Amino acid sequence: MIFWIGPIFGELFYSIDYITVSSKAFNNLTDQEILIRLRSHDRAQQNEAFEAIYLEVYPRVKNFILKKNGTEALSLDLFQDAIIVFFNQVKSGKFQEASTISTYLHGIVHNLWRVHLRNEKKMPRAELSPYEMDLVQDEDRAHVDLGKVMTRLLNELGDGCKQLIQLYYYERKTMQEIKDHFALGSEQTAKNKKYRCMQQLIKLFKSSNITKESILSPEK
Amino acid sequence: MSEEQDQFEQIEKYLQNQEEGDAAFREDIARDKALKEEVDIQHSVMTGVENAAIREEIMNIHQRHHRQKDFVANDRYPVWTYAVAAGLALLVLAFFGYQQYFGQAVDHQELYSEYFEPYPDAISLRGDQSREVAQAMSLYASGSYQEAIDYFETTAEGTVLSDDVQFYWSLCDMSIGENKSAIQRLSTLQERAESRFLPQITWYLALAYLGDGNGSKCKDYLNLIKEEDFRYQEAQRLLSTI
Repeated sequence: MIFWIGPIFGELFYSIDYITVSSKAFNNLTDQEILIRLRSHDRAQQNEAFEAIYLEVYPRVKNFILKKNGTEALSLDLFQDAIIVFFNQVKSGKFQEASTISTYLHGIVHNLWRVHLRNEKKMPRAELSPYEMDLVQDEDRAHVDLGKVMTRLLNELGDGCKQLIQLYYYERKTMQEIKDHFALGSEQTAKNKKYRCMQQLIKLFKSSNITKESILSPEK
Repeated sequence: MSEEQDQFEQIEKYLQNQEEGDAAFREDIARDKALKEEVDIQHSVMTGVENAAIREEIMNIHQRHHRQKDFVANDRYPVWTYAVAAGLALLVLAFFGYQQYFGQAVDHQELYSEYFEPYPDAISLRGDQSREVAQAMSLYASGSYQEAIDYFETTAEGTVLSDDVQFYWSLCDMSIGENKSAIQRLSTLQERAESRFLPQITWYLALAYLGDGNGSKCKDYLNLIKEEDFRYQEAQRLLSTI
């Protein structure tokens, strides 16, 4: 009995930890607080907001997709896409706070799911209503495409370059911090390394199957 | 630094400080098509890197909340965990016993998913609905619940919706997991008792409470469903499970 109780204990402790973490993120962050965190330039705060959204919205997204005969992997993929769309709309000020974040994200997922069906030719005649069209614009779709393509390309690039690029462009670390992180001789060496990694990535990007519509102009 | 690297750094600086703006460089971009293409590519790559990192962050959050599986898969535990386990076995049993009798022994969301299905459209055929309600019902029938809600909301701003229509509005709320709104509306409809869907309302109200995690209220409404009523068998089955 002891041999199977050990793992159960692990589960129990984990469950308690899970419930504490979930309720903390869920209960402590209102929609307004989530938006403040997303609009901040602090990655830790933004990640806290992502987690609160995940805990509140993802279970419903999963239920919705499973009910529609989709898979759990598809539900997570669509949820990731929806977060990217939502995050960019919040940053660009396009998100109107007329509905709750939960309802709004569900609408985005619904839109992305229908487009997925259409692309998979499972619902060839599926047309989007004006409301759905409004919810996810071409620019949002470009963001989604870029996220997916770049996930693949960064992995092709190798761990070292991937880590350096993410530290600089996502974590917003300084060249000094990057120099220390990789134990490089000088900031200039770090800068040169970053340039070489980016050149490789840009080359991969140009030769990838990315469509013209997914190329974003900074003026857009 | 090579000329190419110099240009790369200049584009990057421009993209990172766009709000302050570099008027001269902006003019160069407007004049030089090749330069504009490079700027767009570099901007897209930087945006893509951020979006890929967000995808990764969501995946990390997802995995963190699903690490239970890995824990079970790992069968090498230090000896002390077994000792602690043995010592506290009674506590575990007490915990599960408590859960069985007083706690939420079953997953309400799972039961909700199993039992909830939207009621068929029984009002469109009557043909006495407004154009907006007809549009909302058509969206309802196609499973576009969020959009149907949008129409219901817009219509409700200009007119009073009948209880029957409000019943379908509640079902839309339930379909997207907005059970609190559904409870509020369905409770009002039940108290008013003017809808011809009254028996259905009791069943869906019970389910809305279930979806909201309130097993006790759910049971109260299930117990109101009589043998000749809508979904009596399911109500009994559900009562024995909760």
